[in-house]
Amino acid sequence: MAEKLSDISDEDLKQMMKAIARANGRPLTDERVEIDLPAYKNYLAAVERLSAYAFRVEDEPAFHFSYKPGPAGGTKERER
Amino acid sequence: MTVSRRAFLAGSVGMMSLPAAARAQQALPGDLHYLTIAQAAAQIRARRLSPVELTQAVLARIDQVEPKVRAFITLTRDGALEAARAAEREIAAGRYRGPLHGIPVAVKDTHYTRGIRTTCASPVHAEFVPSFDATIVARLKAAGAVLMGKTNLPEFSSGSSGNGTNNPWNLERPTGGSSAGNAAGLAAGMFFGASGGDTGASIRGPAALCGVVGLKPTYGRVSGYGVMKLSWSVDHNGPMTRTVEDNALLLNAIAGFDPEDWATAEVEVPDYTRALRRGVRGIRIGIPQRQMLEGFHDDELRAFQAALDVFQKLGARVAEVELPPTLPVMADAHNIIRICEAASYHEPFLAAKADLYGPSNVRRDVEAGALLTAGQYLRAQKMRKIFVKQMLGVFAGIDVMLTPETTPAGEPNKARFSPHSPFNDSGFPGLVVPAGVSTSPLGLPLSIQIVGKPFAEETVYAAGHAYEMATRWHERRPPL
Repeated sequence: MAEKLSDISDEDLKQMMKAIARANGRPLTDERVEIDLPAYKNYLAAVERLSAYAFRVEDEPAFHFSYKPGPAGGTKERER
Repeated sequence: MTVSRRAFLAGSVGMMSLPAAARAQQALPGDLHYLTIAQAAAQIRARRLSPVELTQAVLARIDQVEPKVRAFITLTRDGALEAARAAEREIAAGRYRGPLHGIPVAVKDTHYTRGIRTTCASPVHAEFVPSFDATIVARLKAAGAVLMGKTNLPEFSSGSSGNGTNNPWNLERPTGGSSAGNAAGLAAGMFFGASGGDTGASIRGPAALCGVVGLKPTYGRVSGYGVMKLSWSVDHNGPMTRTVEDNALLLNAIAGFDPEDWATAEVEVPDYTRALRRGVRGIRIGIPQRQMLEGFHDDELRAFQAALDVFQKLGARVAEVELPPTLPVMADAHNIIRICEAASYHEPFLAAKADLYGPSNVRRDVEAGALLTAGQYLRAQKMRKIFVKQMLGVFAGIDVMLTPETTPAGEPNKARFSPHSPFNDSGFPGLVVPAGVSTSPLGLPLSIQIVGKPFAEETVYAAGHAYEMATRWHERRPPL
Protein backbone atom coordinates (compact mmCIF):
# COMPACT_ATOMS: atom_id res chain seq x y z
CA MET A 1 0.00 0.00 0.00
CA ALA A 2 1.33 3.42 -0.93
CA GLU A 3 2.63 5.65 1.83
CA LYS A 4 0.27 8.44 2.84
CA LEU A 5 1.58 11.90 2.06
CA SER A 6 0.74 13.00 5.57
CA ASP A 7 3.06 10.33 6.96
CA ILE A 8 6.11 11.78 5.26
CA SER A 9 8.35 13.53 7.76
CA ASP A 10 9.22 17.20 7.45
CA GLU A 11 12.85 16.29 6.87
CA ASP A 12 11.94 13.98 4.01
CA LEU A 13 9.60 16.62 2.59
CA LYS A 14 12.39 19.17 2.64
CA GLN A 15 14.64 16.79 0.72
CA MET A 16 11.80 16.21 -1.76
CA MET A 17 11.30 19.94 -2.16
CA LYS A 18 14.95 20.51 -2.90
CA ALA A 19 15.07 17.65 -5.38
CA ILE A 20 11.92 18.71 -7.25
CA ALA A 21 13.04 22.34 -7.32
CA ARG A 22 16.37 21.26 -8.82
CA ALA A 23 14.55 19.17 -11.40
CA ASN A 24 12.41 22.22 -12.19
CA GLY A 25 15.57 24.20 -12.86
CA ARG A 26 15.13 26.59 -9.94
CA PRO A 27 16.80 25.26 -6.81
CA LEU A 28 15.53 26.40 -3.42
CA THR A 29 17.83 27.57 -0.66
CA ASP A 30 17.47 26.04 2.79
CA GLU A 31 15.91 29.29 3.93
CA ARG A 32 13.30 29.18 1.16
CA VAL A 33 12.54 25.53 1.88
CA GLU A 34 11.77 26.43 5.49
CA ILE A 35 9.52 29.30 4.37
CA ASP A 36 7.74 27.26 1.69
CA LEU A 37 7.26 24.05 3.69
CA PRO A 38 3.92 24.96 5.37
CA ALA A 39 2.36 25.86 2.02
CA TYR A 40 3.69 22.67 0.42
CA LYS A 41 2.24 20.57 3.24
CA ASN A 42 -1.14 22.26 2.78
CA TYR A 43 -1.12 21.43 -0.91
CA LEU A 44 -0.12 17.84 -0.24
CA ALA A 45 -2.94 17.52 2.27
CA ALA A 46 -5.34 18.65 -0.47
CA VAL A 47 -3.77 16.15 -2.85
CA GLU A 48 -4.22 13.40 -0.29
CA ARG A 49 -7.90 14.16 0.23
CA LEU A 50 -8.41 14.35 -3.52
CA SER A 51 -6.62 11.05 -4.00
CA ALA A 52 -9.14 9.32 -1.78
CA TYR A 53 -11.75 9.83 -4.50
CA ALA A 54 -12.42 6.72 -6.60
CA PHE A 55 -11.76 8.02 -10.09
CA ARG A 56 -12.77 5.85 -13.01
CA VAL A 57 -10.36 5.10 -15.81
CA GLU A 58 -12.73 6.96 -18.14
CA ASP A 59 -12.62 10.20 -16.14
CA GLU A 60 -10.93 12.93 -18.16
CA PRO A 61 -9.48 16.26 -17.08
CA ALA A 62 -11.66 19.33 -17.58
CA PHE A 63 -9.86 20.95 -20.43
CA HIS A 64 -9.76 20.71 -24.16
CA PHE A 65 -8.06 22.43 -27.04
CA SER A 66 -10.11 24.57 -29.33
CA TYR A 67 -8.17 25.79 -32.33
CA LYS A 68 -9.47 29.07 -33.58
CA PRO A 69 -8.14 31.19 -36.41
CA GLY A 70 -6.67 34.50 -35.35
CA PRO A 71 -7.02 37.75 -37.28
CA ALA A 72 -4.91 38.40 -40.33
CA GLY A 73 -1.42 39.35 -39.29
CA GLY A 74 -1.12 36.74 -36.58
CA THR A 75 -1.22 36.83 -32.85
CA LYS A 76 -0.05 39.72 -30.75
CA GLU A 77 3.05 38.90 -28.81
CA ARG A 78 2.42 38.43 -25.13
CA GLU A 79 4.64 40.65 -23.00
CA ARG A 80 6.65 39.75 -19.91
CA MET B 1 -10.28 71.36 -32.48
CA THR B 2 -11.65 72.12 -29.05
CA VAL B 3 -15.37 72.04 -28.46
CA SER B 4 -16.50 74.43 -25.77
CA ARG B 5 -18.86 73.15 -23.07
CA ARG B 6 -21.29 75.80 -24.20
CA ALA B 7 -21.17 74.52 -27.79
CA PHE B 8 -21.58 70.92 -26.70
CA LEU B 9 -24.50 71.68 -24.49
CA ALA B 10 -26.06 73.91 -27.13
CA GLY B 11 -27.41 70.69 -28.59
CA SER B 12 -29.82 70.50 -25.69
CA VAL B 13 -32.95 72.46 -26.36
CA GLY B 14 -34.15 74.72 -23.59
CA MET B 15 -31.33 73.98 -21.18
CA MET B 16 -28.80 76.56 -22.25
CA SER B 17 -29.17 79.03 -19.42
CA LEU B 18 -28.14 76.63 -16.65
CA PRO B 19 -24.69 75.32 -15.74
CA ALA B 20 -24.24 71.66 -16.65
CA ALA B 21 -24.29 70.33 -13.11
CA ALA B 22 -27.51 72.18 -12.41
CA ARG B 23 -29.02 70.87 -15.62
CA ALA B 24 -28.16 67.28 -14.77
CA GLN B 25 -29.37 67.67 -11.24
CA GLN B 26 -32.55 69.24 -12.45
CA ALA B 27 -33.24 66.12 -14.44
CA LEU B 28 -31.72 63.68 -12.00
CA PRO B 29 -31.65 64.05 -8.24
CA GLY B 30 -28.41 63.45 -6.39
CA ASP B 31 -24.75 64.06 -7.07
CA LEU B 32 -23.29 63.72 -10.54
CA HIS B 33 -20.76 61.18 -9.28
CA TYR B 34 -23.55 58.92 -8.06
CA LEU B 35 -25.51 58.89 -11.30
CA THR B 36 -25.91 55.47 -12.83
CA ILE B 37 -24.31 54.80 -16.19
CA ALA B 38 -27.78 54.64 -17.71
CA GLN B 39 -28.72 58.04 -16.24
CA ALA B 40 -25.45 59.72 -17.22
CA ALA B 41 -25.56 58.21 -20.70
CA ALA B 42 -29.07 59.53 -21.27
CA GLN B 43 -27.94 63.01 -20.25
CA ILE B 44 -24.80 62.86 -22.42
CA ARG B 45 -26.68 61.55 -25.42
CA ALA B 46 -29.21 64.36 -25.08
CA ARG B 47 -26.27 66.76 -24.67
CA ARG B 48 -27.57 67.94 -21.34
CA LEU B 49 -24.35 66.78 -19.69
CA SER B 50 -20.85 67.05 -21.07
CA PRO B 51 -18.38 64.14 -20.70
CA VAL B 52 -15.77 66.68 -19.64
CA GLU B 53 -17.92 68.10 -16.86
CA LEU B 54 -18.89 64.61 -15.76
CA THR B 55 -15.23 63.60 -15.66
CA GLN B 56 -14.34 66.77 -13.79
CA ALA B 57 -17.09 66.05 -11.27
CA VAL B 58 -15.72 62.56 -10.75
CA LEU B 59 -12.16 63.88 -10.41
CA ALA B 60 -13.38 66.32 -7.78
CA ARG B 61 -15.03 63.43 -5.94
CA ILE B 62 -11.82 61.43 -6.17
CA ASP B 63 -9.86 64.35 -4.74
CA GLN B 64 -12.35 64.46 -1.88
CA VAL B 65 -12.49 60.78 -0.93
CA GLU B 66 -9.41 59.02 -2.31
CA PRO B 67 -7.23 59.97 0.69
CA LYS B 68 -9.69 58.02 2.85
CA VAL B 69 -10.64 55.17 0.52
CA ARG B 70 -7.36 54.59 -1.38
CA ALA B 71 -8.97 52.85 -4.32
CA PHE B 72 -6.35 53.67 -6.94
CA ILE B 73 -2.85 52.53 -7.66
CA THR B 74 -2.59 54.87 -10.65
CA LEU B 75 -4.94 57.76 -11.30
CA THR B 76 -4.86 58.81 -14.96
CA ARG B 77 -6.19 62.32 -14.51
CA ASP B 78 -4.74 63.86 -17.69
CA GLY B 79 -5.62 60.87 -19.85
CA ALA B 80 -9.16 60.88 -18.49
CA LEU B 81 -9.70 64.53 -19.32
CA GLU B 82 -8.19 64.01 -22.77
CA ALA B 83 -10.51 61.04 -23.40
CA ALA B 84 -13.48 63.04 -22.12
CA ARG B 85 -12.66 65.92 -24.47
CA ALA B 86 -12.38 63.46 -27.37
CA ALA B 87 -15.76 61.97 -26.44
CA GLU B 88 -17.26 65.42 -26.28
CA ARG B 89 -15.93 66.30 -29.73
CA GLU B 90 -17.26 63.08 -31.23
CA ILE B 91 -20.69 63.44 -29.72
CA ALA B 92 -20.89 67.07 -30.73
CA ALA B 93 -20.05 65.94 -34.27
CA GLY B 94 -22.93 63.47 -34.17
CA ARG B 95 -20.82 60.36 -33.64
CA TYR B 96 -22.34 59.02 -30.42
CA ARG B 97 -20.98 55.52 -29.82
CA GLY B 98 -23.40 54.25 -27.22
CA PRO B 99 -24.11 54.23 -23.49
CA LEU B 100 -20.48 54.09 -22.36
CA HIS B 101 -19.45 57.07 -24.47
CA GLY B 102 -17.98 59.66 -22.13
CA ILE B 103 -18.55 57.54 -19.01
CA PRO B 104 -15.73 57.40 -16.43
CA VAL B 105 -14.63 53.84 -15.65
CA ALA B 106 -11.70 52.09 -13.98
CA VAL B 107 -9.93 48.77 -14.36
CA LYS B 108 -8.18 46.60 -11.83
CA ASP B 109 -4.44 47.05 -12.07
CA THR B 110 -4.11 43.61 -13.63
CA HIS B 111 -5.40 44.88 -16.97
CA TYR B 112 -2.74 45.87 -19.49
CA THR B 113 -3.10 49.50 -20.45
CA ARG B 114 -0.97 50.79 -23.28
CA GLY B 115 1.46 53.40 -22.01
CA ILE B 116 0.12 53.22 -18.44
CA ARG B 117 1.93 51.38 -15.67
CA THR B 118 0.37 48.01 -14.82
CA THR B 119 1.68 46.70 -11.51
CA CYS B 120 -0.58 43.91 -10.25
CA ALA B 121 0.19 45.61 -6.92
CA SER B 122 3.60 43.96 -6.86
CA PRO B 123 7.08 45.45 -6.77
CA VAL B 124 7.85 42.78 -9.40
CA HIS B 125 5.93 44.90 -11.92
CA ALA B 126 6.49 48.31 -10.38
CA GLU B 127 7.86 49.76 -13.61
CA PHE B 128 5.98 47.66 -16.16
CA VAL B 129 4.33 49.74 -18.89
CA PRO B 130 2.52 47.56 -21.48
CA SER B 131 2.70 48.37 -25.15
CA PHE B 132 -0.88 47.26 -25.80
CA ASP B 133 -4.27 47.25 -24.14
CA ALA B 134 -5.96 44.19 -22.69
CA THR B 135 -8.91 43.24 -24.88
CA ILE B 136 -11.28 44.46 -22.16
CA VAL B 137 -9.56 47.84 -22.08
CA ALA B 138 -9.55 48.06 -25.86
CA ARG B 139 -13.27 47.30 -25.92
CA LEU B 140 -14.03 49.87 -23.23
CA LYS B 141 -12.10 52.47 -25.21
CA ALA B 142 -13.86 51.47 -28.42
CA ALA B 143 -17.15 52.05 -26.61
CA GLY B 144 -15.95 55.55 -25.75
CA ALA B 145 -15.46 55.02 -22.01
CA VAL B 146 -13.14 57.35 -20.11
CA LEU B 147 -10.45 55.50 -18.15
CA MET B 148 -9.95 57.14 -14.75
CA GLY B 149 -7.16 54.84 -13.63
CA LYS B 150 -5.97 51.52 -12.32
CA THR B 151 -7.40 50.20 -9.07
CA ASN B 152 -5.89 48.50 -6.07
CA LEU B 153 -5.71 44.79 -5.25
CA PRO B 154 -3.63 42.46 -3.10
CA GLU B 155 -0.29 41.51 -4.67
CA PHE B 156 -0.89 39.40 -7.79
CA SER B 157 -4.60 39.13 -6.92
CA SER B 158 -3.74 36.63 -4.21
CA GLY B 159 -5.76 36.64 -1.04
CA SER B 160 -8.77 38.44 0.27
CA SER B 161 -7.17 41.59 1.62
CA GLY B 162 -7.80 45.01 0.17
CA ASN B 163 -4.10 45.88 0.31
CA GLY B 164 -4.77 49.18 2.02
CA THR B 165 -8.04 50.06 0.31
CA ASN B 166 -10.64 51.01 2.92
CA ASN B 167 -14.32 50.16 2.93
CA PRO B 168 -16.34 53.34 2.29
CA TRP B 169 -19.06 52.10 4.63
CA ASN B 170 -16.66 51.95 7.53
CA LEU B 171 -13.08 52.98 6.87
CA GLU B 172 -11.89 50.68 9.64
CA ARG B 173 -13.40 47.66 7.90
CA PRO B 174 -11.92 45.64 5.00
CA THR B 175 -13.12 45.72 1.43
CA GLY B 176 -12.24 42.12 0.74
CA GLY B 177 -10.18 41.19 -2.26
CA SER B 178 -9.00 41.06 -4.78
CA SER B 179 -10.95 43.61 -6.86
CA ALA B 180 -10.86 45.88 -3.82
CA GLY B 181 -10.27 49.25 -5.46
CA ASN B 182 -13.08 48.63 -7.93
CA ALA B 183 -15.64 47.84 -5.24
CA ALA B 184 -14.60 50.64 -2.88
CA GLY B 185 -14.30 53.17 -5.70
CA LEU B 186 -17.78 52.38 -6.99
CA ALA B 187 -19.31 52.62 -3.54
CA ALA B 188 -17.53 55.94 -3.01
CA GLY B 189 -18.66 57.44 -6.33
CA MET B 190 -15.19 57.56 -7.90
CA PHE B 191 -16.25 56.02 -11.24
CA PHE B 192 -19.37 54.49 -12.77
CA GLY B 193 -18.18 51.04 -13.75
CA ALA B 194 -15.11 48.89 -13.52
CA SER B 195 -13.62 45.66 -14.79
CA GLY B 196 -12.40 43.20 -12.22
CA GLY B 197 -11.16 39.65 -11.95
CA ASP B 198 -12.44 36.67 -9.98
CA THR B 199 -10.62 33.38 -9.31
CA GLY B 200 -12.46 32.41 -6.15
CA ALA B 201 -14.49 35.46 -5.07
CA SER B 202 -12.50 38.44 -6.22
CA ILE B 203 -15.32 40.29 -7.97
CA ARG B 204 -18.19 39.04 -5.86
CA GLY B 205 -16.62 39.23 -2.41
CA PRO B 206 -15.54 42.88 -2.56
CA ALA B 207 -18.79 43.80 -4.33
CA ALA B 208 -20.73 42.23 -1.45
CA LEU B 209 -18.64 43.87 1.26
CA CYS B 210 -18.88 47.30 -0.36
CA GLY B 211 -22.54 47.11 -1.38
CA VAL B 212 -22.16 47.22 -5.16
CA VAL B 213 -23.08 44.93 -8.06
CA GLY B 214 -20.53 42.46 -9.40
CA LEU B 215 -20.79 39.80 -12.07
CA LYS B 216 -18.47 36.87 -12.53
CA PRO B 217 -19.56 35.92 -16.03
CA THR B 218 -19.55 32.46 -17.55
CA TYR B 219 -16.04 31.18 -18.22
CA GLY B 220 -15.25 32.18 -21.78
CA ARG B 221 -17.76 35.03 -21.92
CA VAL B 222 -15.16 37.81 -21.46
CA SER B 223 -11.63 37.77 -22.81
CA GLY B 224 -8.73 37.59 -20.40
CA TYR B 225 -6.16 38.52 -23.00
CA GLY B 226 -3.76 41.08 -21.62
CA VAL B 227 -4.92 40.59 -18.04
CA MET B 228 -2.32 39.37 -15.54
CA LYS B 229 -3.21 35.91 -14.35
CA LEU B 230 -3.63 34.04 -11.16
CA SER B 231 -4.90 30.86 -12.80
CA TRP B 232 -5.73 30.54 -16.49
CA SER B 233 -8.55 28.03 -16.17
CA VAL B 234 -10.19 29.51 -13.07
CA ASP B 235 -9.80 33.27 -13.64
CA HIS B 236 -12.84 35.18 -14.83
CA ASN B 237 -13.01 38.88 -15.72
CA GLY B 238 -16.23 40.77 -15.37
CA PRO B 239 -18.05 44.04 -14.74
CA MET B 240 -18.63 45.83 -11.45
CA THR B 241 -21.15 48.65 -11.16
CA ARG B 242 -23.71 50.22 -8.83
CA THR B 243 -26.76 48.77 -10.57
CA VAL B 244 -27.68 45.63 -12.47
CA GLU B 245 -28.65 47.67 -15.52
CA ASP B 246 -25.22 49.30 -15.57
CA ASN B 247 -23.63 45.90 -15.23
CA ALA B 248 -25.49 44.70 -18.30
CA LEU B 249 -24.36 47.79 -20.20
CA LEU B 250 -20.75 47.11 -19.28
CA LEU B 251 -20.99 43.42 -20.18
CA ASN B 252 -22.44 44.39 -23.55
CA ALA B 253 -19.21 46.26 -24.23
CA ILE B 254 -16.65 43.73 -23.05
CA ALA B 255 -18.20 40.31 -23.76
CA GLY B 256 -17.52 38.17 -26.77
CA PHE B 257 -15.10 35.96 -28.62
CA ASP B 258 -11.51 37.13 -28.81
CA PRO B 259 -9.13 35.34 -31.16
CA GLU B 260 -6.33 36.28 -28.78
CA ASP B 261 -7.94 34.27 -25.98
CA TRP B 262 -8.66 30.67 -26.89
CA ALA B 263 -10.78 30.26 -23.79
CA THR B 264 -13.37 32.71 -25.08
CA ALA B 265 -16.45 31.09 -26.50
CA GLU B 266 -17.92 31.70 -29.93
CA VAL B 267 -21.31 32.28 -28.38
CA GLU B 268 -23.44 35.17 -29.54
CA VAL B 269 -23.48 38.22 -27.29
CA PRO B 270 -27.05 39.45 -26.83
CA ASP B 271 -27.99 42.94 -25.74
CA TYR B 272 -28.11 42.13 -22.05
CA THR B 273 -30.26 45.14 -21.24
CA ARG B 274 -33.17 43.61 -23.19
CA ALA B 275 -33.54 40.89 -20.57
CA LEU B 276 -33.74 43.26 -17.63
CA ARG B 277 -37.48 43.69 -17.61
CA ARG B 278 -38.40 40.06 -18.11
CA GLY B 279 -39.20 39.72 -14.44
CA VAL B 280 -39.05 36.49 -12.50
CA ARG B 281 -42.63 35.27 -12.65
CA GLY B 282 -42.54 31.51 -13.02
CA ILE B 283 -38.79 31.09 -12.86
CA ARG B 284 -37.45 28.28 -10.72
CA ILE B 285 -35.02 29.33 -8.01
CA GLY B 286 -32.93 26.68 -6.31
CA ILE B 287 -31.46 27.28 -2.87
CA PRO B 288 -28.93 25.18 -0.98
CA GLN B 289 -30.35 22.76 1.54
CA ARG B 290 -30.80 24.18 5.01
CA GLN B 291 -27.87 22.28 6.52
CA MET B 292 -25.55 23.81 3.92
CA LEU B 293 -26.38 27.27 5.26
CA GLU B 294 -24.95 26.53 8.68
CA GLY B 295 -22.27 28.97 9.72
CA PHE B 296 -23.35 31.88 7.57
CA HIS B 297 -23.64 35.12 9.54
CA ASP B 298 -27.09 35.66 11.07
CA ASP B 299 -27.54 39.00 9.31
CA GLU B 300 -26.60 37.41 6.01
CA LEU B 301 -29.12 34.61 6.49
CA ARG B 302 -31.78 37.15 7.39
CA ALA B 303 -31.07 39.06 4.17
CA PHE B 304 -31.10 35.81 2.22
CA GLN B 305 -34.48 34.79 3.63
CA ALA B 306 -35.90 38.26 2.99
CA ALA B 307 -34.69 38.04 -0.60
CA LEU B 308 -36.43 34.70 -1.03
CA ASP B 309 -39.63 36.29 0.21
CA VAL B 310 -39.23 39.09 -2.34
CA PHE B 311 -38.67 36.67 -5.20
CA GLN B 312 -41.68 34.59 -4.19
CA LYS B 313 -43.86 37.70 -4.05
CA LEU B 314 -42.62 38.52 -7.55
CA GLY B 315 -43.84 35.14 -8.75
CA ALA B 316 -40.76 32.95 -8.62
CA ARG B 317 -40.90 29.37 -7.36
CA VAL B 318 -38.32 28.42 -4.74
CA ALA B 319 -37.13 24.92 -3.90
CA GLU B 320 -34.18 23.42 -2.09
CA VAL B 321 -31.60 21.68 -4.24
CA GLU B 322 -28.84 19.33 -3.29
CA LEU B 323 -25.40 20.71 -4.06
CA PRO B 324 -22.95 18.38 -5.83
CA PRO B 325 -21.66 15.62 -3.54
CA THR B 326 -18.12 16.39 -4.65
CA LEU B 327 -18.34 19.98 -3.34
CA PRO B 328 -15.91 19.43 -0.41
CA VAL B 329 -13.26 17.64 -2.43
CA MET B 330 -13.67 20.16 -5.25
CA ALA B 331 -12.43 22.78 -2.81
CA ASP B 332 -9.19 20.83 -2.59
CA ALA B 333 -9.07 20.40 -6.35
CA HIS B 334 -9.64 24.15 -6.75
CA ASN B 335 -6.63 24.94 -4.60
CA ILE B 336 -4.42 22.51 -6.51
CA ILE B 337 -5.49 23.81 -9.93
CA ARG B 338 -5.17 27.42 -8.85
CA ILE B 339 -1.71 27.11 -7.37
CA CYS B 340 -0.27 24.87 -10.11
CA GLU B 341 -1.35 27.34 -12.76
CA ALA B 342 -0.16 30.29 -10.68
CA ALA B 343 3.22 28.61 -10.25
CA SER B 344 3.54 28.22 -14.00
CA TYR B 345 2.52 31.85 -14.60
CA HIS B 346 5.09 33.04 -12.08
CA GLU B 347 7.99 30.96 -13.45
CA PRO B 348 9.61 33.84 -15.34
CA PHE B 349 9.18 36.25 -12.44
CA LEU B 350 10.58 33.78 -9.92
CA ALA B 351 13.53 33.19 -12.24
CA ALA B 352 14.34 36.84 -12.78
CA LYS B 353 12.88 38.87 -9.93
CA ALA B 354 12.23 36.57 -6.97
CA ASP B 355 13.70 39.06 -4.51
CA LEU B 356 11.26 41.74 -5.61
CA TYR B 357 8.13 39.98 -4.35
CA GLY B 358 6.37 41.98 -1.65
CA PRO B 359 5.64 40.99 1.92
CA SER B 360 2.58 38.90 0.95
CA ASN B 361 2.68 35.10 0.79
CA VAL B 362 2.64 35.00 -3.00
CA ARG B 363 6.26 33.95 -3.45
CA ARG B 364 5.93 31.25 -0.81
CA ASP B 365 2.72 29.91 -2.31
CA VAL B 366 3.87 29.77 -5.92
CA GLU B 367 7.26 28.34 -5.05
CA ALA B 368 5.51 25.56 -3.13
CA GLY B 369 2.93 25.15 -5.88
CA ALA B 370 5.70 24.59 -8.41
CA LEU B 371 6.59 21.42 -6.52
CA LEU B 372 3.28 19.69 -7.22
CA THR B 373 3.35 17.18 -10.04
CA ALA B 374 1.55 17.06 -13.37
CA GLY B 375 -0.27 13.95 -12.19
CA GLN B 376 -1.58 15.75 -9.12
CA TYR B 377 -2.74 18.69 -11.23
CA LEU B 378 -4.51 16.43 -13.73
CA ARG B 379 -6.22 14.54 -10.92
CA ALA B 380 -7.65 17.88 -9.77
CA GLN B 381 -8.81 18.67 -13.29
CA LYS B 382 -10.49 15.24 -13.50
CA MET B 383 -12.39 16.09 -10.33
CA ARG B 384 -13.38 19.37 -11.90
CA LYS B 385 -15.03 17.67 -14.85
CA ILE B 386 -16.97 15.37 -12.54
CA PHE B 387 -17.99 18.42 -10.51
CA VAL B 388 -19.13 20.39 -13.57
CA LYS B 389 -21.30 17.48 -14.70
CA GLN B 390 -22.86 17.27 -11.25
CA MET B 391 -23.45 21.02 -11.18
CA LEU B 392 -25.14 20.86 -14.58
CA GLY B 393 -27.38 18.18 -13.08
CA VAL B 394 -28.27 20.46 -10.16
CA PHE B 395 -29.23 23.22 -12.60
CA ALA B 396 -31.26 20.91 -14.82
CA GLY B 397 -34.30 21.55 -12.64
CA ILE B 398 -33.81 25.24 -11.90
CA ASP B 399 -33.25 28.48 -13.75
CA VAL B 400 -31.07 30.19 -11.15
CA MET B 401 -29.62 29.39 -7.77
CA LEU B 402 -29.75 31.89 -4.94
CA THR B 403 -27.04 31.82 -2.28
CA PRO B 404 -26.22 33.93 0.74
CA GLU B 405 -23.17 36.09 0.24
CA THR B 406 -20.14 36.56 2.38
CA THR B 407 -20.23 37.73 5.98
CA PRO B 408 -20.40 41.49 6.72
CA ALA B 409 -17.05 43.22 6.24
CA GLY B 410 -14.52 42.20 8.87
CA GLU B 411 -16.71 39.65 10.63
CA PRO B 412 -15.46 36.05 10.96
CA ASN B 413 -16.56 33.72 8.20
CA LYS B 414 -17.71 30.33 9.47
CA ALA B 415 -19.82 29.34 6.48
CA ARG B 416 -19.96 25.65 5.72
CA PHE B 417 -19.34 26.19 2.03
CA SER B 418 -17.96 28.93 -0.16
CA PRO B 419 -20.64 30.49 -2.36
CA HIS B 420 -17.87 31.60 -4.72
CA SER B 421 -15.19 29.11 -5.83
CA PRO B 422 -17.63 26.34 -6.88
CA PHE B 423 -18.83 28.67 -9.60
CA ASN B 424 -15.30 29.52 -10.68
CA ASP B 425 -14.62 25.81 -10.99
CA SER B 426 -17.85 25.15 -12.88
CA GLY B 427 -17.61 28.43 -14.80
CA PHE B 428 -21.26 29.33 -14.11
CA PRO B 429 -22.14 33.05 -13.95
CA GLY B 430 -22.70 34.59 -10.51
CA LEU B 431 -24.15 38.03 -9.84
CA VAL B 432 -23.89 39.78 -6.49
CA VAL B 433 -26.48 42.44 -5.65
CA PRO B 434 -26.96 44.50 -2.48
CA ALA B 435 -29.60 42.96 -0.22
CA GLY B 436 -29.68 44.72 3.11
CA VAL B 437 -27.83 46.24 6.02
CA SER B 438 -26.14 44.46 8.89
CA THR B 439 -27.35 44.91 12.46
CA SER B 440 -24.26 43.51 14.18
CA PRO B 441 -22.07 45.35 13.44
CA LEU B 442 -24.47 48.05 12.37
CA GLY B 443 -24.73 49.53 8.90
CA LEU B 444 -22.56 47.31 6.69
CA PRO B 445 -23.82 46.11 3.30
CA LEU B 446 -25.33 42.67 2.91
CA SER B 447 -25.74 40.93 -0.43
CA ILE B 448 -27.09 37.91 -2.19
CA GLN B 449 -25.72 35.96 -5.14
CA ILE B 450 -27.74 34.84 -8.15
CA VAL B 451 -26.10 32.04 -10.12
CA GLY B 452 -27.15 30.96 -13.59
CA LYS B 453 -26.48 28.27 -16.12
CA PRO B 454 -23.55 28.71 -18.50
CA PHE B 455 -24.11 31.72 -20.79
CA ALA B 456 -27.43 32.50 -19.10
CA GLU B 457 -26.35 35.93 -17.92
CA GLU B 458 -29.63 37.33 -19.26
CA THR B 459 -31.63 35.25 -16.78
CA VAL B 460 -29.30 36.23 -13.97
CA TYR B 461 -29.63 39.90 -14.86
CA ALA B 462 -33.42 39.62 -15.15
CA ALA B 463 -33.59 38.20 -11.63
CA GLY B 464 -31.11 40.72 -10.26
CA HIS B 465 -32.91 43.68 -11.81
CA ALA B 466 -36.33 42.51 -10.61
CA TYR B 467 -34.96 42.16 -7.10
CA GLU B 468 -33.22 45.53 -7.27
CA MET B 469 -36.38 47.31 -8.39
CA ALA B 470 -38.38 45.66 -5.62
CA THR B 471 -35.96 46.51 -2.82
CA ARG B 472 -33.85 49.56 -3.75
CA TRP B 473 -30.95 48.45 -1.55
CA HIS B 474 -28.63 49.57 -4.35
CA GLU B 475 -29.58 53.20 -3.75
CA ARG B 476 -27.93 53.38 -0.32
CA ARG B 477 -24.71 55.41 -0.17
CA PRO B 478 -21.89 55.22 2.36
CA PRO B 479 -21.44 58.04 4.87
CA LEU B 480 -18.20 59.43 3.47
